[in-house]
Amino acid sequence: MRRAASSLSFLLGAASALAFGWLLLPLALYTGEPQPVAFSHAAHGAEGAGMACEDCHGIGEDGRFTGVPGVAACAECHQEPIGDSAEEKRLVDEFVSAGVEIPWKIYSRQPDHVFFPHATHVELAGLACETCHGDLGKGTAPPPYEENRLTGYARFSRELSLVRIARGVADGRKMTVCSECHADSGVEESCLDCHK
Amino acid sequence: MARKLSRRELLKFTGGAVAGTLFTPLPWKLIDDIAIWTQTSSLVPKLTRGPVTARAAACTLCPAGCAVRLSLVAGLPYSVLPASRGPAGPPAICPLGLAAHHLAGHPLRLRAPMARTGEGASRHPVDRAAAVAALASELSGRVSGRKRDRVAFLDGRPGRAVSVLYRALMARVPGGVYVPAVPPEERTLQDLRGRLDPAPEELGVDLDAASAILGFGAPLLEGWGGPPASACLTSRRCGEGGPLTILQAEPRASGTALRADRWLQIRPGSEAALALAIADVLAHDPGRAGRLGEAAGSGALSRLATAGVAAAATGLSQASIRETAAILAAGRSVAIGGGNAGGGPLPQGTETALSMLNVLLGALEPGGVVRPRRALPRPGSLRDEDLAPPARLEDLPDGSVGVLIVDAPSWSTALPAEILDRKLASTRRLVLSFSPYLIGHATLADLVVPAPAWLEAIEEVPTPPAAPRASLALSPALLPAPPGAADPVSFLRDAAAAAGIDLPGAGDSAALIAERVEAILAASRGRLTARSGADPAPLASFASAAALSKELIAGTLWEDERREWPDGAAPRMAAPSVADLDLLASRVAPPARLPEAYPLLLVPFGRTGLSGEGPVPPLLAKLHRESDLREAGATIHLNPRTAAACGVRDGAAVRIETREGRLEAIAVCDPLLTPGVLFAAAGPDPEQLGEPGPRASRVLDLCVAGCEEGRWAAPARLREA
Repeated sequence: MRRAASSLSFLLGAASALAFGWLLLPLALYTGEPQPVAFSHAAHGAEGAGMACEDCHGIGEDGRFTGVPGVAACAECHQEPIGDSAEEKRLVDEFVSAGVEIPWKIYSRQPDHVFFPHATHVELAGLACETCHGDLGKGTAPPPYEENRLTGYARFSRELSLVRIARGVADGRKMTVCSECHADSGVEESCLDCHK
Repeated sequence: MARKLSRRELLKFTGGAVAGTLFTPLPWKLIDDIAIWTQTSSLVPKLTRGPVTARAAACTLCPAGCAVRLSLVAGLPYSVLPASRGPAGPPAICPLGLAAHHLAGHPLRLRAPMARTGEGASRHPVDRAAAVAALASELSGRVSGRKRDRVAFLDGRPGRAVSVLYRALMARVPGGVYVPAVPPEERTLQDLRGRLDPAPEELGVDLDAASAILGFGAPLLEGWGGPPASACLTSRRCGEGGPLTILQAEPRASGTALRADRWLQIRPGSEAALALAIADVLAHDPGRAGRLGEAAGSGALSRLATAGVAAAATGLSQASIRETAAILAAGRSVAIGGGNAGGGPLPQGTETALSMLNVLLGALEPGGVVRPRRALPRPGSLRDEDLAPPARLEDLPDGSVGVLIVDAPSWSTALPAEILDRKLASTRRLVLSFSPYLIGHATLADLVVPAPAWLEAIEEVPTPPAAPRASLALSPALLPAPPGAADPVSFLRDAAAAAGIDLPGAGDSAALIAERVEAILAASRGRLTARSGADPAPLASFASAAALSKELIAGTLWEDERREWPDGAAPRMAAPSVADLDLLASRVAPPARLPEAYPLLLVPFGRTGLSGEGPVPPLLAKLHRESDLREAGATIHLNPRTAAACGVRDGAAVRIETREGRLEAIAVCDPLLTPGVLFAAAGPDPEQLGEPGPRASRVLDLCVAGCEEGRWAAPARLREA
């Protein structure tokens, strides 16, 4: 009886730990914040307004990636609301008309010591946007912005899964993922290539 | 009845929890994330984030004043790139300027005035008021007549608006002398100007007009006149802007010598002999001899030096000397001397020989390479008659200076501490240095007052050395200066007021610069040139000096009009004096034998930007520590035959001894070098984080201590250490 109780205690402890580690840890580790505007990539993409990724997220003449466009790019079409969504109206009222930049929360912010050139990967290597950014371009709303309380980086682009086993590039980019892709593609790499 | 949890069960539960935890991401994720947290926490300094912008500026570390384009993030510069000074000039900058934006954070940066503690090297901070009082006490002592030794002001970047105030101060201090640090490029021009009648305000060199240049140790392709001037010459060698022949006379296989059309490998100290011999060959052309008047008449030059005499002195053949003269006679030519950043001046009298040669070459004739130029307009509150005339450091008697004030120490060109030391009185009162860093001359000072570093205050770039016309550029203030930094002009005004000296005008350095801009506007001459090639507004359209200043700070350059000789005729050169001729005669004799105990000649050389007294950005340590792109300080370059004769192997640690001291270095053998000469690189010490290193081991101090005839060279011996 005593032995059974003791085994039960052990199992209960293990189960509690498993539950905490798998279910509660993400809730404790990540903050959840909405994006300032519920931007729909689907509405703007190929099956919506017919825009391509590079229309807003292009590579400039000097090779620099333009990143997230400023509100001036939105204003080119949304000087006045085009549709009837409340979110678009809020975009126009709070940002476009006021000339205020939208404080987007950036999923893909990398550490300062990492040098990632889009030009090399897109124009030289010919990678499609979806290779690293998955189906982001098809979403009707931006993915939740969850920030790791300890590291300050976004969960979406770096660590979608807490377990980094058999995950693709689109599931989060840490150094091991980049190196694996380089190895698969036959690209030799050295420290200085990415850490200038 | 509730069952009580036993200790055993509690322990089992805990054990199960630990075991279970190992199968969750918890411990592994926490290890990873805590490691990242140690890099990202607010306790760790981070790179600034913010908008990326660009600004035009000018590097003010040396008189060349190269135009630069700064890249900034959130207002902090992170990159310096050279920019063209105008639509025609190629962009260029030296290695020091390329990383100059790091210098505001240099480890030796001072943040408060520092006074020497006792006789040693240690210092303690003092407040500004105490520093002002120390200088005021010395100045008032001289005003009252209690103290009679000299007060000397060494200005490392003469020609600025603030330089005029320094001259005004020295004019009001009994025993005051103003000593400008003459850029090496200007020495020959100053000698020439002093011999012309009528003498122009200033002289410049229009390299674009030259079809042949004979350099006497001048780093024509390595920074002479500033990197932009060298870049122009390099462009011409690549076929832009008309053919150019470069002839280089020097004993060392410098970059210029190796890339010249003809390298005349002369013995050290024989420059005057070569110049006079070429002049003698040219003087046989009746059309040219008249230019020099009596100095060239009746075989006067032939008595000084013929091709045969010069051949014996230089080691060249007579044929090569005559061929050189023929090349120079065929086009618009000029002879340019000196300018090696670490090599010191040419031997006494050489400038006179070069002046005579240039007159015979027709360099001063209308359309020639040497041109008159006007001085920059003075700040309006200061008049010529109120200013102390420039004096030469070498003319000051040794041991005569009781108070030495140093501003803007030379960062691109070496000025050995030994030279300054000689001038100081043994009972010296005060050496005060305005320097952002505790380095170089500042380490000699009793009191160092930190001046603003580059980009911490508005600065001006007056006419670059040997430029063909006067110009002015401004560099903006982009960084906050440390609270303890002091504007030198404000500091000096306070000290002068406390000493009872009435200095004209008011305000700080920026106010003097504004006055100069106002004077330019009032003069209504010259033109504005935009960096980008777009046409700026004409000068006359600016309604106020403030508006013109804003335009200049945005990167526009003001250039004066081209000047021509009055009446279209070049001035005459006065015949050299008897003393000059005697000196020249001594220069053309074959060099005296070196003493048996010291059979080699130690000669320093340096590179633009890395031979001076300023700090070297740690980033540039790669240049002289990890590559052969620049010769590191503490290296001795010699011919393998010389090395073999001394029992020294290539790459070995060696000891060089002169009568004045010794130096440890690394030997580097080069078969192109003149045998019997030790060429010592005067640059950053690779073991000292780029700083010159302890004084006793500096090659320049040894060369200067043992020098004769005004040049930096000393008899030496060599052996493996």
